Amino acid sequence: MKNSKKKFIVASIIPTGIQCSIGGYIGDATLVTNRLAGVCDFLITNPNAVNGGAFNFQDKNVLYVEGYGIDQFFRKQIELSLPQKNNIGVILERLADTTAMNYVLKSIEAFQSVAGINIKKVEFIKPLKKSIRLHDGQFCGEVEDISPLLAAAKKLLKSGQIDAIAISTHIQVDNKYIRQHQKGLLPNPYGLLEALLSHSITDAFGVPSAHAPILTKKEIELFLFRSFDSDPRSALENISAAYLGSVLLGLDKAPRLMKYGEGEIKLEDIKALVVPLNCLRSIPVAWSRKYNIPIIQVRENRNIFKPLKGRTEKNIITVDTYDDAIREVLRLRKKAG
Amino acid sequence: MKGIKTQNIFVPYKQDESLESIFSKADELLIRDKKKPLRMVLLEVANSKAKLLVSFIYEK
Repeated sequence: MKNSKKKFIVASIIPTGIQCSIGGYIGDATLVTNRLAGVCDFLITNPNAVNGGAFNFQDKNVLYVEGYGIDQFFRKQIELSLPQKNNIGVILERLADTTAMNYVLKSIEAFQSVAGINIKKVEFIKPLKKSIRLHDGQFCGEVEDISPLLAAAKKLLKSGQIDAIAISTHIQVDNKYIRQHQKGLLPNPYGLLEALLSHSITDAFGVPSAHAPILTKKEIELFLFRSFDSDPRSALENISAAYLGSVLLGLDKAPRLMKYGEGEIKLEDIKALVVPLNCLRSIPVAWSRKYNIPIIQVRENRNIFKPLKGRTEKNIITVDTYDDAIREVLRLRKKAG
Repeated sequence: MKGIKTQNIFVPYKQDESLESIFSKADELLIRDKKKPLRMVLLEVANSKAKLLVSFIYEK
């Protein structure tokens, strides 16, 4: 299959860090993502929708594309390849916490030897200086110097054997934020900073990339043994000691980011964009409107965004549930023949 | 040395202006400040201004 011309491809984006009722935890949007993928040839989605700690249960026709890569795709700056097996390079922060490091290194061994992930090389970096802050109910982040991360990625890619880069670093989050998030009171505190790290790689090198947090021994104890009153949607946190697995499984067959005009999947192939309620304010939405790609917003996926006052949103298909979104996608598919 | 961060910025807004146009203005503003824009999302519009959450790379 070299050409996607006859393919029916949909994108479903579930932003991180906005407390989506579906997709606001880890991996809890996998079911709706797979159900949508069930009525498409391919479904493009962002890592947040399917990363589930140590696990990633995305179906084979789900295309795992980093958020900035999705933006570039919708802006017609890049195109995508069809999925193919990738060789993965891993960038790890070297922490003094041996329990944390052992879990991450064991994840690599496990996913290499059991899941058959091609992990070619691991580069270690010193911990990056990162910070997060809560502002107007949303987490913001900063990485003061991304040079070591970029240098490690360059080294991995120089070998010519690497197609995608997994990053795993420790993100210091106040325990009170974690507990509030686990109880459904705050957005995921990690997401935005994780996204910054993967954007850096995608921007600098144009390769698929995603980030998984490294948990310290203390955090593992907190997540695994002292959080059983947490929301069921965050339950994968209770059974994941290292999060790298979900990223490795996602990147395994992630589409490559191709120069514009050279990809097998083009924006013209996208038949619909599915977003949570009130998420009509992003780059993919802006360019979908420009190119007349139908946009479906799903009411049941509530989040911290309110309707934008002072704006009239025209030509948006609003449905109540993801089941309704599937019916709408099927209608579009029938119409497309 | 290069850093990356997210922060809020404001750009002038006209009634029902297209999202693409708002994002283009934000791109221009960031580039003028020698920042490389990456992702952005519109948070709200009020008093002829659009408030965005943007992520960008900056040089130190």
